[in-house]
Amino acid sequence: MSIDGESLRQLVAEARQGDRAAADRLVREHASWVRSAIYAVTGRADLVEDVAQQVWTRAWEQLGTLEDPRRLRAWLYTIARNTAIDASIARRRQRELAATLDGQAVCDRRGRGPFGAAAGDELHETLLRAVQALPAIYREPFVLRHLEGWNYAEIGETLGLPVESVETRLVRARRLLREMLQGKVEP
Amino acid sequence: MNPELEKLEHLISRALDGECTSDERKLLKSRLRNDPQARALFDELRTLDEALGDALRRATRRTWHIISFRSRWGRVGQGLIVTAAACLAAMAWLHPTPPKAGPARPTRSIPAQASLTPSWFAPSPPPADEVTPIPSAYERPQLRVRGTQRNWIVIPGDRPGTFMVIEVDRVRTHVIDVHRDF
Repeated sequence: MSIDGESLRQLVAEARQGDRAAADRLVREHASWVRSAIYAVTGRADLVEDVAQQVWTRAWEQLGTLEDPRRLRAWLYTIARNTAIDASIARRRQRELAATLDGQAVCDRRGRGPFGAAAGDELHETLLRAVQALPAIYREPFVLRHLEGWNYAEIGETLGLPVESVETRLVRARRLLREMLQGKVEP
Repeated sequence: MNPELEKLEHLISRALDGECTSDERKLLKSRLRNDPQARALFDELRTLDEALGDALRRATRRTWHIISFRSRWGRVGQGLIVTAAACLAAMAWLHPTPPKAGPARPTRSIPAQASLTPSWFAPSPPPADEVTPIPSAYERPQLRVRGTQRNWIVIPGDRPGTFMVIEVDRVRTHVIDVHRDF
């Protein structure tokens, strides 16, 4: 939160009136964590850039509906989550349709494309698949914690959760990951 | 699940996330000193956390970096292509290439096209129509009949570039202003 409440309110008001500089600043301030949020929801790095474009387009279209600019992050997160879910569903349908047209069995290749190419080692890919396999409610706080370094209060504010729930979800995420990766990572 | 173990998991999780109070830190330290199982769990979770955090950062930052790198170099590449095209256009304009002397064709070239230097960017001209002499069915009259005008009827053939041309000498018509006489 590098912009204080009053500045944020002013920035949002200026962006609503079509001030490009204000809009640019808002994007610069929030672009990084919006990407992390998209990754947290989808678990796929290859979708992030496309979905981020859609998120900002929707955000500008709906900026008038933001009642309290101090809740900008939670508001943006809702847009990012909905857009990311839509994109994931659309991608899955595309794959299913392509598999049907090819007469092949539908197979889930999540994580093999960009991760496979970028990872280079088996362990790295195994770790990422474990994160992808987490239920979204545990993956979202876990990814935001590790990619953005947010504390429980920040994660809770963004996800609309009490701090206790964030803590519980992180504990459960770690428990599940430990079970999935048993014996694969040596202390 | 064992409530004691669950409590320990919460404590370790808070410690890994930097959310422990000083009392909780002390409690965890003493627990880790005295309980080898707690120590093993802490070490395992910490190692996992570090490895997973590192993997996430590597995957996302690297992918996004590649995308932004591509888009940045894409823009540079587009600029270079436009510049190169502009340079080529300027060179073509300043130093027009003379038409190559090719082998003599048994065709008739179009005089208007032959006098122009084609641009580098212009599409290549279509090949000239080949004309083969046809034995004429009749002799064209050398003299035109006075009071006639020559017209042509052009009928396209079934292949592109083939035409049948009919030459017609028509009697020239005159307009007479009859009102002048009255």
